[in-house]
Amino acid sequence: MMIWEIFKKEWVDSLRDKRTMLVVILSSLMGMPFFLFISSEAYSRMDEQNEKRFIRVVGAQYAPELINYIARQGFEIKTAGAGYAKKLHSKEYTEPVLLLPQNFSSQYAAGIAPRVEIISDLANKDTQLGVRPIKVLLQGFMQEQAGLNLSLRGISAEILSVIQVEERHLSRAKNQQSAGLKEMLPFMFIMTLLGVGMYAAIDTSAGERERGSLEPLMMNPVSSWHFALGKWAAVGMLTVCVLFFNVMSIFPSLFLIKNEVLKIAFQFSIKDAFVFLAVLCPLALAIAALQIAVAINGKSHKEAQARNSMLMLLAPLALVIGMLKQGADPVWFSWVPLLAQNQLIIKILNGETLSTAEVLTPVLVCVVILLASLSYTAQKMRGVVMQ
Amino acid sequence: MQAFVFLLFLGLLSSAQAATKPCRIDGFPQEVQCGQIARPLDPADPQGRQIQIHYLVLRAQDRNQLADPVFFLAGGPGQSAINVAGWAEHLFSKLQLRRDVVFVDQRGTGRSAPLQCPESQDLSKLTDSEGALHEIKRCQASLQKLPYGDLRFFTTSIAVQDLEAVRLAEGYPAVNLVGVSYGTRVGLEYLRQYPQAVRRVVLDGVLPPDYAISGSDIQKALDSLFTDCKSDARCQRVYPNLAQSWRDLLASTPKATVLKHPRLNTEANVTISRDSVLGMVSAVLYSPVNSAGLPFAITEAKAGRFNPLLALSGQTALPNAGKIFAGMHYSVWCAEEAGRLPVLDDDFGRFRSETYRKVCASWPRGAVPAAFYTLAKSASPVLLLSGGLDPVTPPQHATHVAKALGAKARHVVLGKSGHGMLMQSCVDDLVYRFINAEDAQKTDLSCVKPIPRPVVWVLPKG
Repeated sequence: MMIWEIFKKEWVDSLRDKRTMLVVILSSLMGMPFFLFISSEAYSRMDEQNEKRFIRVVGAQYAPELINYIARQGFEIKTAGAGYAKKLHSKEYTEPVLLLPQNFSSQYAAGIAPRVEIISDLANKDTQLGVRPIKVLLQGFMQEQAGLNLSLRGISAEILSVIQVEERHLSRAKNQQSAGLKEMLPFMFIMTLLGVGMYAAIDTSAGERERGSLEPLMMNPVSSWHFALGKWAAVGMLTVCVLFFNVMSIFPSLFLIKNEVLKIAFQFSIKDAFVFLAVLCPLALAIAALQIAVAINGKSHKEAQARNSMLMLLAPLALVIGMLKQGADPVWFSWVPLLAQNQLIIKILNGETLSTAEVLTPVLVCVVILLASLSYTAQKMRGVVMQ
Repeated sequence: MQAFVFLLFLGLLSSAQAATKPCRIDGFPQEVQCGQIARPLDPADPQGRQIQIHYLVLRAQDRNQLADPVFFLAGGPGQSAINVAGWAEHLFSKLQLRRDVVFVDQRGTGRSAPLQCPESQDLSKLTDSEGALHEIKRCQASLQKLPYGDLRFFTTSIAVQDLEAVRLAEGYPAVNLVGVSYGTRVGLEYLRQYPQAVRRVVLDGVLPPDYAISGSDIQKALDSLFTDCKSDARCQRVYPNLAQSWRDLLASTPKATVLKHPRLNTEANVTISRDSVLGMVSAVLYSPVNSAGLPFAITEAKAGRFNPLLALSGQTALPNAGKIFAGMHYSVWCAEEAGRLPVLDDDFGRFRSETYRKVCASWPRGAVPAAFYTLAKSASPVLLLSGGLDPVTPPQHATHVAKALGAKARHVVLGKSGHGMLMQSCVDDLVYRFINAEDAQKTDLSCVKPIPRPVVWVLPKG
């Protein structure tokens, strides 16, 4: 009963600071629309680059054979003047320039391979995106001409294909591209729950200590464990609520995706939301307890914040380990909080079969962190009041 | 927890329809869905001998998929739609985002009661038209011994009933048809028999049912090459008397020569007949790129060197995904065309008519309903695509069909494109927009821009 009273008090305290809460909740809700809007814009930009049906050329008049091929592929030739380098530098041109030499035709007719150049600017990223399509075009020209060169010497171009190469994918369905984008979501959710938990945890421990309200609270005839549990329940509940809203904010955010391919590729279902929440809720509750434990020793809000910031820094590091690894996940991944949850969600999204150990180990680790943190908080709570 | 994961997977899989099952098909790295339905060989005897019609479904990627799929209709006659699906998939990648794409092996092709004839790699047989005819007769005899070897039941009219059966088996309320070459005739016949089941139609390289095949269009395509060469300074300089070289080449046949196999490098002493030359040149003209090598190949052949023409024609090429199931090819053509082959006085016209006339003289002919040769006004929007250099389905055939289909038909011509426009730039996007649009009549067709004829090939001189 006392735990419930403490929970209520902490919960009301948390919500009393309406401005802070508004900032916390809004930032958690705005993250997802922003992420999807930016992703949609990025996809559209890539599409635009791919769909550009023109090529900037210097010296088009010197290479009618190549220009003929490019035109047959549906590309318009735009003449780039002598000042093309300056225009690439100044980003007036967002496409690379194809430079054809004066002696193209004469060399070509003599059976000598003319040298053509694709000019781009490393500082002008858009031009980099356009290099590959030009290379694909030139490769097509070479292939077409090589085929004719062989055939008209009486040799079949088939002799160039001494083996047939086919890819074979073991995934269940072709469309796993949505999983790729979804794989970025756990990271966002984890960072959100760390951020929200931190403010609430500090407020309920070091914040109270700084305000001087912790001592009167501890005067009550209640065990330290009850205090710890009550505070944890309030912070944990807040974190889980924000996590819930954060995950659910995906659904309205889907309307911001304008790119058609991305819209279809990125389909987030209630089932996906359930998976995210099921995996992340134990972590959110454990992190809440840990953040209180870390903050409890802080003499001031500032000190507790500095200590908790360490957790915020460790989180991306743990997730980077998962990104850098090759091959199967080592067993110890399941024992590292944050990393374990991240990998677990990715595996579920990719339709991989999971072992019981893979699913239960992170939960077990969360329970251990939770109990250890609560125990530490309970132990320290009276001590810090005495200091 | 394993049970939970299993249920999760089960939920994910439940969207797949039960009529098909996962399978592996050449050309697809990932698993696809395969299905088959039993169909009577003779539609008039539903309880009689059954054949299996196989089909492949590329399921829509969107969970909120649209109910109307795209049915791809392969060419030939005699191509297997499933065999060319790997190639065609690229054309439909955007459509597949929201729609199933279905490839049905027409009866007589691929996996559906195949009527396959052996393909010879023997050089002497390639140049021996009488020998080739004999091989076809032998093949016919062996096909007739098959359990499903009654060659009268492979016509287009019967085949579209199989398509309709697939549509019903899969529960599609309506379909969008994309037909190429002979597949356009299949599309038109489906539209005639089941107009209510058609939402949109795209016909690429239109072969009207009321048009009797002839070689005259091939002659026209070759003549246009000669004309274009005359107006091109470079071609005119290198090949100044191309039309005359062609006439000289034909006049020089039959001609004894030594042929080298383009792939195996084996040699054979052969006599090149007039028909062999016409056959090889016909094959080259299908592709504008290969046609760019034709002036050189004709010049060489006139001088007695036939190897470039042979290699360019691809007649010794290894069987590929687009190979023709010859038994089905003749079963269709002999039923639908043999009775009305025109007598023409141009070289290619005579050559084509004679070849089919000889084969069809003994090939069993299925019954073709008189209505098959008619075209009615279409209630569904139809997009027709034609290449101006097409030697078999030139634009005038599509113009005729568009007129018959009425106001809902739109015709796009790409002057210097050959047989099959779907591979052309922006055409795949055009097809996507035409099928996807709420109002197909408002589809912007302007992205199709004129393209030049490929530059004529000239031997490099060091």
